[in-house]
Amino acid sequence: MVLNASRSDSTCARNALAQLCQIYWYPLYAYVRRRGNSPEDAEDLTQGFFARLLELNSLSDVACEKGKFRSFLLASLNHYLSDEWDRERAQKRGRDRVISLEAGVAEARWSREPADTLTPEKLFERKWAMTLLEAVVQRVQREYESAGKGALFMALRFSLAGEKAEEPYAKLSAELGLSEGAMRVAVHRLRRRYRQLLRDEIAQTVATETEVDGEIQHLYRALGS
Amino acid sequence: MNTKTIKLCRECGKPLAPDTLLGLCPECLMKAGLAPSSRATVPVASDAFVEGPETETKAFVPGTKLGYIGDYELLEEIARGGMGVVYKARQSSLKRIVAVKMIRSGELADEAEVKRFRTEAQAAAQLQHPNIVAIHEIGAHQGQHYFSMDYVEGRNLAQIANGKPVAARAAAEWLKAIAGAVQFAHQRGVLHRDLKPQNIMLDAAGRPRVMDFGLAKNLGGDSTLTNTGAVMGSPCYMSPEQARGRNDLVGPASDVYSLGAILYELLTGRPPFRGKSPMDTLSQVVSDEPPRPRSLNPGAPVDLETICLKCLEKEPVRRYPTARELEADLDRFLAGEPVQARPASALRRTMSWSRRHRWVFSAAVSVLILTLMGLAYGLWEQTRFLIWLNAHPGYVKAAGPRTAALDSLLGRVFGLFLVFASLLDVGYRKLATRAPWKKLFEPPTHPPTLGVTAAFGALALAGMVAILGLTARGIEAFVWEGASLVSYEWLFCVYIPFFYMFTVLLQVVTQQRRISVEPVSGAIKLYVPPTGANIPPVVAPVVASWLNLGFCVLLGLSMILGYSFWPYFWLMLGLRLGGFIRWKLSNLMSEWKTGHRPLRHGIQWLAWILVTVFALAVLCSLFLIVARIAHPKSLLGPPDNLSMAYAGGLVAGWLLVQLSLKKRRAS
Repeated sequence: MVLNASRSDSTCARNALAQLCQIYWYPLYAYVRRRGNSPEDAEDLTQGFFARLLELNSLSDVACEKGKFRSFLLASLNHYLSDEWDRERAQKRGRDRVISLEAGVAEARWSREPADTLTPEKLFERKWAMTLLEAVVQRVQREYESAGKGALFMALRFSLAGEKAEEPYAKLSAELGLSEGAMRVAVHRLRRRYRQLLRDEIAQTVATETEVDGEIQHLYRALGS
Repeated sequence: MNTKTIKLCRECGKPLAPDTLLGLCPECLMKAGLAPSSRATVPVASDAFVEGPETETKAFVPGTKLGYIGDYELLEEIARGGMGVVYKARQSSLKRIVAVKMIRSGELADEAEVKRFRTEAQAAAQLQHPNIVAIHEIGAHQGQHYFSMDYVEGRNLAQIANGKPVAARAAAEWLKAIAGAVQFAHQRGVLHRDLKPQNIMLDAAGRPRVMDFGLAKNLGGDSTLTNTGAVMGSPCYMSPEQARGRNDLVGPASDVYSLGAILYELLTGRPPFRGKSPMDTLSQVVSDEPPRPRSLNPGAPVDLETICLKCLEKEPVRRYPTARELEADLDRFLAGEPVQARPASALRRTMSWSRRHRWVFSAAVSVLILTLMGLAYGLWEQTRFLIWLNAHPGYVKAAGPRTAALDSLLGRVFGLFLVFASLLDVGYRKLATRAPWKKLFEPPTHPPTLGVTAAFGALALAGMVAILGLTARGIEAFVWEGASLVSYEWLFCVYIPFFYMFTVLLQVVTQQRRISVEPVSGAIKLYVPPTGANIPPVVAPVVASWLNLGFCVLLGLSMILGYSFWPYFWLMLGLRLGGFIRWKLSNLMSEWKTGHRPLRHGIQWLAWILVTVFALAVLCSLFLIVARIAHPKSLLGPPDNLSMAYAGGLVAGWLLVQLSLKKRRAS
């Protein structure tokens, strides 16, 4: 998508960007909040930033070698925070609503976060990783649900994180009414699909396919820190 | 228990957040996305251990748990808590089995904390005592701090007690040994600060051994309390001064408190306080008294209970000053000698109760003082009046024709009015419910038509006017001939019918327009019910029933003071307080209910009774005073000293209302 978005100035690019923003607004919001802005300011800032981003179509700046959409967003946001905000606040406060960020939703989510001592940058990366995972897991879940296999997904979702089950496979398969072999196949398929979707999702935020693994490792470290 | 169970990831063993990502571990989810070939190159996460002490550069798959930390070869994971993970390990150089505790990264936030942790651990490492799990070494491995200690094979006290009381003698013996160990540490300047059953191991020989000395302050201590209650240990064993964050008051007596809390749990199978949330527990620790152990386990010895409660005193100075004293008292208990701890006296208990319930206490005191003042003033006035009357014999009033006429009228009219009012009441209820007689107290289903309502209202009003006429004649007799207005006959003949009529009138009015009464403030709202809507039953005191009750109390008081005992008054009061009658707002009718109201409601009811009665009494007093000013010749006598007492009670009642409001806000 990033590749799409940076390629041209067409409406297609704009849409792609808007779509990405819709997914990843929360990490940016969290970053802005952690930098010490009030909820209202944080909301305005996030909106304003996205508005500006879409307005300038500045994704054309995302050079391929720079790679990651994540780093780009953070750098742009920092730039926006330092330069633009003061100037724009006076005239534009509360006007741009680019992403459907319902009032209070962001803050409600923020207030549920456990306290920690992360720097804003670390927090941003961690939230980014969490958002990404949420999106992917949800997508897998929706796929299974639309295929009428929602219950199977819920029963086997443990296997997304690893193959160790809470209960023996034999017991689990008996509960699901599958043979143990069939269940192992189902677990394998679920894991494969999940990995595929996760890599696809990450591929949309990096420049080349080869960077995917690097990005996963980076996000893994961000989660662990 | 307050300790939340934390689910751990089966793959990497990290604690999981329950509500995100369907309860899955984000790190493992992320790792699962790697292409199979590149999975082995994931850099080591900060908490993964590297195989071999020298091979830090070698990449290693995260989630591999066992390896080396420094000199220690990790053998198996023993326990996991908010503070970190404990492993059984073999010390390579000395070929011995030890326990190694890894401190969770993030627990020691900055350099200063790391330094403090090291200082305290060094002090704790000096403690060599048979009942203390000794610390061997502290160190850091890849930025993670750890310390090694004796490996104790056995179970901790929490596992042994397992929610049930243990034998009192065994508990006393264990606690004595623990107190000895704690005293040993205190003498060397080390406080534990986090004594709890989970921290006390019973080794293979049945010896209790205390773990984690001196480490609690920096690790998993109070700093994590408000933000991450899930991670924090249970505050059940924390002393009140720790719970209040008064670190300046924390000292040996705080550990004595925790020892008492452990004894409490051993005796009863539960900690002294446990709330719905950690914060709730903390507030209980600060302000509540624990239930007596013998109320939970009648088999617990009295002396041990006394010792336990002495440890659990809120004020450090009231506890055993040192663990040594506690140890000595436990020794006396075990030897069958009398213990030195004494149960709190009734006076001390009252004092501590009054400190915790300042409002009730001040209300009670103000009632007492004002009542005494009122009585004194009344006596003084009475004496003055009698002296004055001696000097002016012409002012003595005598019953005359007005009183005689009134007496005969009262005798005849009372029965008539009461029957009239009752018939009106019952008739209206019957019309409004259209139910069998036994269901007369059900909510109305068929509000009568406006015409019928108006007729009933007019009748009730007529009855009231007649009674007011009677009252006027009574006042006339009172002013000119000194006939009593608060006598037995008056109460029966005027007040009862009057309030009965008033009730009927209110009913009639509220069938068409519902009245809602705010139960606390007593504010009355009138509004027209939405058409067709069911009338929800609302439990609330209603003006009419309160007035009814108020006059019953007035009547009862006059009975107690001058006449015979009257059971109806007590019945009404008891029913009102016990909550057997519910007054329904929707129909102003009482409803019989079994079961009790909680005490707080009782206080509220009591407050309302006081307010109602005293408001009436004050009105009477005002009337007397006004009459006296307006007509000096008809000197009415001294202000009723009872009224003065009522006035005092009015203030008290107001205070009680404030109290119940305050409690309500607090909850």
